[in-house]
Amino acid sequence: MNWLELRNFEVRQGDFRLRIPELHLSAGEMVAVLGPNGSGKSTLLSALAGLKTYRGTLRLAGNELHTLSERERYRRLSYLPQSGRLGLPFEVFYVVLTGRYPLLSGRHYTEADHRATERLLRLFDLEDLRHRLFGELSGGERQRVLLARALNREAPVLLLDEPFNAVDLRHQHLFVRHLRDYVRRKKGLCVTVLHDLSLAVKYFDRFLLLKEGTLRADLRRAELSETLLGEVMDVAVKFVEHGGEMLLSIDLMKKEEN
Amino acid sequence: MGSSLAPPPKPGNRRELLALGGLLCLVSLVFVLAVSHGAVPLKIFHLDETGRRILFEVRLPRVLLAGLTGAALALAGLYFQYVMQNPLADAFTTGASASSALGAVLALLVAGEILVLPAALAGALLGLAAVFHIASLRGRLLPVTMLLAGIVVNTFASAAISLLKFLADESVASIVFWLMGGFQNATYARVGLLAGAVFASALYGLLRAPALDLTAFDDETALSSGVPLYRLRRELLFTGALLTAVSVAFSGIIGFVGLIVPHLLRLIGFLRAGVLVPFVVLFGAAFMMLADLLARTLLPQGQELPVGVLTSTLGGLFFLYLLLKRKRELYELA
Repeated sequence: MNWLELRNFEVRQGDFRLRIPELHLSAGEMVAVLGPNGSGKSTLLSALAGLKTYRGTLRLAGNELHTLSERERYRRLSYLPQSGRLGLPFEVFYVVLTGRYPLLSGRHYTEADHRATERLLRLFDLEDLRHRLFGELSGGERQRVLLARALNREAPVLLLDEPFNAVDLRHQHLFVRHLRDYVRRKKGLCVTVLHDLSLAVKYFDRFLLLKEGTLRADLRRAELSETLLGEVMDVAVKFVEHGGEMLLSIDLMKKEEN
Repeated sequence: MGSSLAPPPKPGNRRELLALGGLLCLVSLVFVLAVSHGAVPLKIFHLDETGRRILFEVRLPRVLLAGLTGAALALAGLYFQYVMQNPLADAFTTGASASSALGAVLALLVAGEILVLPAALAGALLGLAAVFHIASLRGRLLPVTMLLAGIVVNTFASAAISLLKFLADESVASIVFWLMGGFQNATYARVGLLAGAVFASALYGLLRAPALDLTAFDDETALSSGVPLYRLRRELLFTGALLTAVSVAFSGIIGFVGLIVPHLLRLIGFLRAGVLVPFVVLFGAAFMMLADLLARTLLPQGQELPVGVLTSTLGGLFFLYLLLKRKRELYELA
């Protein structure tokens, strides 16, 4: 099944244009969106989340996105923007709990909502922070809380914009492994903007390479090539085989070194 | 209200019920104190004819108006904080009080008493819209910019009021006195109207409590949580403006209540809208009845301080404390 389908999709933002002629993202996929700054990665993600006006077709689980009510839309997809911010004081537990807002049927979070939140706090080592105010946390801790919040919705489609900003290595790997299991278990879809190529290559199956608002390549892991990656990202990429695992060596392009 | 503010069985619930009980006791206690003290002390259980008349015709409406104005301003402050996404917003810091007063003074001088309320509302809405648009940038709103925009609106409105006072000098004395803030002009009609406004506004917030909390996030997070953010902001702004306008039209400019009351409640750990809305109403009422009691009794020989002077002095000190101690919040280094 296709969770997301795009056809003749176009988003305009001032002078910038993001165009994707055709793209199908289906159940069970871990999709990494790669590209240099200003290539349209965040625009793509926020448009997929229904936050930008677009032309063409964008379907979520077979339904044109703008015809779905907010509730139907955000029960199925959970979006983590790049710079999450909270202007009033709330404790960590409650911030994570609010991720379940679209699931509310009445005016109150239920016992089940509280239990799910407890479970995520445990899973991501956030239990000790549960009573702390969000505003008092460090950048990395905040990002972990917001990630847990995004996952708490248990939506099949996850759209994560640089979710590992400032997150320490251990928790990056913990999260990304959880994401992989989550996607498999729910037959869901995870679309993630990343800058860390090694993390992407290690855990993701599909790679969307964006540059200047166009989709330069849509590749499976086996199809990744040093030249293509290097060309899109403007760096020299070399694959290194080590103990059955593919590692990446990254350097500046030759011409820029001097 | 008791059953609806508590989310189903959860730890912390008992604490909230206890606090609710405490606040109700506080309100009752302050109410009794405020009713029985003043220029003429009243023994409320042994009243003669004069005492009864003072109680029902002067004291009671005044104390009720004070309490309701406190509740209204505190609630307006809380709602402005959701719209402006920071805890420093209130009717005074956003300039809503001043622009509302400008509307009211204009109506008073040009059209007469009937148009005071609608003009005060229009003034408040215009001022708030200006502050919101000046302060918001690409879906976020910085507290410092909001305060600066509030100063702009405040300065402009105050200057315009001064000009109007200068041009129409015969009614100056009453305007000056009214603007300083006080509850001398209390009537049961005013009490009834304000009570209706406070009740409806509080109910509005209570019914949407989880959504109110989500407005504190960045726009993208709030919108992608399924909150009708823009509609909610408009409604909150309107409700807050309405509460401000009614308060200003009846009792003049009384500053900082909407800042102090929610802040103290948050400081002792009440953070969610479902709890804050009813608590802010009760605490705001107690706070203002007490402030009015002090204003009536501090000076010897039955002289009265304008209550606005009292709350502004207190508010100024409180704001100073925030500036010194809470820089992170203020500059949003957080």
